[in-house]
Amino acid sequence: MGNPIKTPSFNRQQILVFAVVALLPWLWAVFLIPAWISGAALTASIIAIVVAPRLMPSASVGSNPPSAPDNRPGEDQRAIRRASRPLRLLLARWAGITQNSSSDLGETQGALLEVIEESETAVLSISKSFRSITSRSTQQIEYAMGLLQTTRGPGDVGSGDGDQGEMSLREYIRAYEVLLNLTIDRLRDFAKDCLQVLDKTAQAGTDENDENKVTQLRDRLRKLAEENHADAEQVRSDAVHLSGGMVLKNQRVTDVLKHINTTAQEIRRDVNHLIVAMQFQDITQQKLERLRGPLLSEIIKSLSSISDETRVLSKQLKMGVLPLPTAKDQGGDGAPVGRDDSSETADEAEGPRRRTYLGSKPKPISGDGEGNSVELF
Amino acid sequence: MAFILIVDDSNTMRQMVQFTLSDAGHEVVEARDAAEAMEQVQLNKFDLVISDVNMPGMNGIDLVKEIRALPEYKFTPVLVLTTESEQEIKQRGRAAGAAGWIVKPFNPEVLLSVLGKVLG
Repeated sequence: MGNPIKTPSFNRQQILVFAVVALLPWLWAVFLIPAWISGAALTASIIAIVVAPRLMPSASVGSNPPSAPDNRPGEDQRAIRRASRPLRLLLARWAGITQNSSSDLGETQGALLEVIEESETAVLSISKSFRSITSRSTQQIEYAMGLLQTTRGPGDVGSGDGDQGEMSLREYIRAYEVLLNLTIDRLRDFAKDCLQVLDKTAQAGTDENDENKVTQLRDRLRKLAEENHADAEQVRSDAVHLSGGMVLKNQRVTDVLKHINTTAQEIRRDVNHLIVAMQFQDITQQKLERLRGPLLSEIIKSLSSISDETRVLSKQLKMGVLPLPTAKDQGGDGAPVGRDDSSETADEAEGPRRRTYLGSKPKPISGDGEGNSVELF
Repeated sequence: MAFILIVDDSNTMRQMVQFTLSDAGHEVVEARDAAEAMEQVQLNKFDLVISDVNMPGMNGIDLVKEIRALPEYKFTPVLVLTTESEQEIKQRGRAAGAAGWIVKPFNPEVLLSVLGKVLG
């Protein structure tokens, strides 16, 4: 930038000195010219000294202290307006930005609230469905276990005192096998007894005719007893084969039960992990509430206040009426104008059931799905 | 089987705790805040109270004090289940009369184990 051309400028004291110096020749001339001429010239000079500074334009008195506000106020205000135009434009932009930002943050706050509510609804729904599923699977497992692992057996076999005791399927098969063997033995003994009776009857017979009849009867009975014996042996053999198969199947059932039991325990562990994981909603909610509540509300309040103040300042600048800075403004405590009003609005926007937090931020959920610490007092 | 009161403003947390305890055979009553909890403890005699700390209105530590002030709850165990893990707040809970402090997220097995210990 080039140096501006300097124009000579004088203040009142300098003008007074010049006037005195200019009057000095008149002191010499006062003895040479008529008195009325001297008087008139002196009066004219004094008038010039008094009036000249008042008629001088303000621009020519550059080093003078600022003139009073009532001194050409129209020109001053026009000059201020011209000089402050970029500032006013900047302030208008700032006011617009702060207002928009405040509005955007308000929307963000609303969106956060929606996220919190929707995540809560989703987790509750998941939890209910999950609970229903686990409840049904537990019922199925218990039913299967009850059906396969235990069977009601005959009371006289179970405990021997007539009590309807519970026994396993394997025990029931064994008891049944014993009963069957007993029955077969009884049948065989009965057949033997019949044959012995017939033999004795035949030996005791005297009449030839009776002896023939008894012999025929004995032969028929012997045949029946032998068939009975063969059938009993066949039944025993089938029963042994059947019970062997049932024992084998029972073993398989036991293996399946063990597998079901293992699966149930794995499901239980998964359920526990899910319960831990689903608590993310509460922890996330607390984090978002902390963000939504104190932080965003404070920013919204500050931005609203700055927007309002900027608008007022811009208007005052446009009118050429600038307020004098106060000690509070210069002290810069940062308290925005109208803070109380805006804080009320922000508090209302946060809703009636806001939590109060005593301490630290919530800890994050650990990746392994395990819970945090426990302390018993 | 115990009769237990859960106090938490979070629906999900109440449901998780209720799910865990009911599955273990306990009978559970829920309260959304300290005021509801006080109503419940005056209506029923619970074997155990589990409370959150950060809640609308009265916080959990003040609730423990209020419950402890009731003659019939002088020896009833009160557990605190919260996200707060600072020692200073734990000490405040202990001073208020809490029997234990469980930091969220809780593990169901650990919760049931703690319940077993405090219920004897």
